[in-house]
Amino acid sequence: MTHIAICTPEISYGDAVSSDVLGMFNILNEQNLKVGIFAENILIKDKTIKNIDFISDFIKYRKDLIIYHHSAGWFKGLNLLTSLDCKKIIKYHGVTPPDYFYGFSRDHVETCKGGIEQLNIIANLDLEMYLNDSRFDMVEMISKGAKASKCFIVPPFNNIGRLKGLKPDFFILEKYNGKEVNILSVGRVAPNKGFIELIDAFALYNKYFNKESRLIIVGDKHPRLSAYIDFLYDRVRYIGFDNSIVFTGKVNDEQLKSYFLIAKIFALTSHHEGFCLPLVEAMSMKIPVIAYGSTAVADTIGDGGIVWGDLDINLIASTINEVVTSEDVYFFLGEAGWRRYKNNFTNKIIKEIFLSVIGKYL
Amino acid sequence: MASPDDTKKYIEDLKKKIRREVKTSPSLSEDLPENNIYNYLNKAEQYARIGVDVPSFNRLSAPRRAAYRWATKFLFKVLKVITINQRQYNLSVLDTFRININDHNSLKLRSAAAKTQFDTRISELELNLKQQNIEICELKKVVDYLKYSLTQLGQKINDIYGNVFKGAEKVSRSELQNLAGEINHDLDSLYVFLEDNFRGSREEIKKRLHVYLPIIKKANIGLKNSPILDIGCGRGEWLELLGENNLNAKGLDLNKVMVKMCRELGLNVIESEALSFLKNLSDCSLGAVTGFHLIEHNGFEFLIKLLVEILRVLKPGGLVIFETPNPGNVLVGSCNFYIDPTHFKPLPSPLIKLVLESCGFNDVNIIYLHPYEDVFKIKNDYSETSKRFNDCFYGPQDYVAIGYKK
Repeated sequence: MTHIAICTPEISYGDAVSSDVLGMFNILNEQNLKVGIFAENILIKDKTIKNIDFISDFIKYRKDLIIYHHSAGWFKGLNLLTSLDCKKIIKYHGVTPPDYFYGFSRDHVETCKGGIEQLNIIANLDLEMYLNDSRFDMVEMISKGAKASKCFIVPPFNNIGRLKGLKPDFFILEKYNGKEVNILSVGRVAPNKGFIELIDAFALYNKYFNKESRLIIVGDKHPRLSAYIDFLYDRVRYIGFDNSIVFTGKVNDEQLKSYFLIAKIFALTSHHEGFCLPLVEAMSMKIPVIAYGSTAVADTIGDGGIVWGDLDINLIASTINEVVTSEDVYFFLGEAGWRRYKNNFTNKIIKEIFLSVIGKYL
Repeated sequence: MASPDDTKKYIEDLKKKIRREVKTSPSLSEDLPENNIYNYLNKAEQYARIGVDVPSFNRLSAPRRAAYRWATKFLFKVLKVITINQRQYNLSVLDTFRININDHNSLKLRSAAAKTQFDTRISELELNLKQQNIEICELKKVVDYLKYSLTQLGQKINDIYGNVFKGAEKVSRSELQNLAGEINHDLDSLYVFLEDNFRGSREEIKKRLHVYLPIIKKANIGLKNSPILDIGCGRGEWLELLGENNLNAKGLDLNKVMVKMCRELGLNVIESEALSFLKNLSDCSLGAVTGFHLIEHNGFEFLIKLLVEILRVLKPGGLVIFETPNPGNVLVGSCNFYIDPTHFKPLPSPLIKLVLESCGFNDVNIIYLHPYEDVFKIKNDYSETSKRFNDCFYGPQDYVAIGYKK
């Protein structure tokens, strides 16, 4: 029987790449295939996930298959990819350009630089197949040298089913579920996420349209990015919105669900996204989505929300107002987002795409 | 339900409406601090240029408009000459402001970045300082202990020499042997001290030894008729762990202090030399023989003799487990091995595998254990050099050799 190893540098809860890895594992397992997850940093207590050093005990024959998830520089993984004699498929999640991190975090610059350099190598290895989270990622993969005939779009598996079944955190519901309009954004606090523009847009909305509003930014605050985070805090203080803008830091799934439940609208002004799973999560919960359509964002939202081609804070503020004040618009966008999710991003649909694409190697 | 085309059209119409509203309303962003500065500059620029453009006078009749335009043009030409320097000055000041604001913004970002770099460096240095302080404290402890032990040893040797020279004829051979034995055992407490300081705490060692329990259980030994013998049992962590898992075990050690400590814990430990103890055992009487950090304390010839005896006393299916420092790790092979002055010689894993096989053990397996924590390794450098460096310096510090009797 063919052995399938899914490889990733790190596996943890609440991270989009890990959700995709676990989703793939479950789907392949359902097919009664011999599947294993191999990672270098394992932050999940699960005996089925093994250290990458043991992969050669599992992948022994040419007919065996590696599904390699690429999103950052990973020397060990690349080494294995080039040395093991078996079939190989890449799952590309996009690498953030290092330029965003210069001056803020040497580690992030190095990791992203490594990711880009290794993307160049991986794209030119002429492997069996290159699966990409989005059209944007696929175009990048082809531009780096991968054959277009071997490139496919397979959206990442998500955790939404589980999220919907979870009990929310009542403390959060009680704290924020008041008369204020909650504007939600989800994503790690990093320079590529464009939070400065979101904060400014919110400031305008709050000042001109609705004093009783709040911006909630849910996402991990990495200690190595403390200079950038301080910069954001300074900005918030400078414009005088300390009491209306909340940075939650890293949250668990129950807390994340609670923030989605209290959100009136989901706003995103990110400059770089390989797919952006939080958009799909918001759409699945019928929360109207508005965004700046950089990189893969427009593809992910499609006609499930309002996407602006330019990052004009006046437009973002006015759009928030339009959605919040008009019940028709609010419900229409909620439905549109939900349809977008239902027709394109349920795990069932992704499973069909995934199996039809990689079927011949199973 | 709306069709995809309807949805698209609805959203496009909505976007058009929002865009119209934004265009017709005054710029919302005027009041934001930076935008405010730019707005002031833009206004100032309009005034700085006044006098340059001739008004259109559209509301006037044609002949009057022509006359006014001619007069204004003339007036402006004159004014231009008079105010040319003032306008230049105004525009230059505005440009200077713009450059300063841009510089200020980029400096703000750069200073934030420099602060991160500075903070990172400071925390690295603080960490180094902390580690060095810990090392200094540990070394001070060792030096104090060694000073004390040396003084005591010197005193004892003087006493012994005194006794020997003063009344050698009165001291019997057996009494001399006893005295010599006492000298050897003077090092016992030093060894306990070394073990406490360098090997790790009792709980840590027990945690590390957990890895061997499945191997023992799989071999179905440790029963009454297949007991386990731990040679050089030291502080007895392994014996304790075996006992907790209802496995029958006995320990051997030459160190009087350690034997006493083990007995106080209720462990079955005998003070005896390993080879002579094994020689007194009958064939096929043990389930397993273990030795953690034992074989590096003796010479090669002793090791061979020991293995031959172990093979004899093991039951078929029984096994031997020897854990020892891994000289394949450069730090272990060149330095850490010698922290224990009772260590004899580092033993590379291929040699031990070969020796076990040559002595008649089967299915000999080497497992590498206890690599350094990630914090010590070079991170975020994906070069081959860093990888090799990490492997050589911070790879496994110990290994275990396991062999079975068929």
